[in-house]
Amino acid sequence: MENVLSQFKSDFFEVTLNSDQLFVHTSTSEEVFALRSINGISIVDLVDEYNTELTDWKKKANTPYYMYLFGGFFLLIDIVAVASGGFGNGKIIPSIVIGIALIYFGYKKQNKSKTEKPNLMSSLRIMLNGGVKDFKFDKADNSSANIADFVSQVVKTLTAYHKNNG
Amino acid sequence: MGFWDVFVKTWQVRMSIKIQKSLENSFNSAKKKSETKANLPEILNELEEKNKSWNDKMNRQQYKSDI
Repeated sequence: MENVLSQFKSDFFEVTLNSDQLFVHTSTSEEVFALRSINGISIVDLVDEYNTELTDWKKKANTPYYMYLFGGFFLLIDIVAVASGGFGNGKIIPSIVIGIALIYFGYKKQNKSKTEKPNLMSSLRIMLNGGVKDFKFDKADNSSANIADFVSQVVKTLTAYHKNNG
Repeated sequence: MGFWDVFVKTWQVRMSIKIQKSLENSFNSAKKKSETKANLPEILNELEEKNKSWNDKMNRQQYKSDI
């Protein structure tokens, strides 16, 4: 490999830049881009994806309340049945079980959904001749300072490359 | 069944599918719009929070490379 101009490793990907090529290594791929094929790079916030994730998360977070509501409804019917003296030879027992089960599962789900709030991810977008390549990362991650450093390094290298070879 | 009857039936089926699809699309787009509207404050907050520190990092890099 030629002299390395910039290199960094994050939890999401590892990138190496030399005067002619850009190497990107992720957990599922290893790619090399010639600098002559790169038109530019950009950082994009994946807002659409975050919006979808947030909607799904809210739906999940609201599910326990529906479960509480239905569970409470079942138990209320049982209370009314018992209060009116109509225990019905144990016929309301399944209804009590369903009511308690709904409340229990609602509680379990509520505890689970508390920890999974989505995170706005960003993408390092490399614009190539004939398409774009996205590499996801988190701006709040500790390694994002390295990515910022890398971006500024690539901008300089690309500018110099296109100036010298354009 | 004559040619004309087949033609009319086919047209009816196609048109009903078109109407159903258009209703589904308008319903989905209204749903998406209302979800986005509900999520907007959180999205803006997250964008501001993340980009503030990111811009600081980028400015620091810019400052370093200017020196």
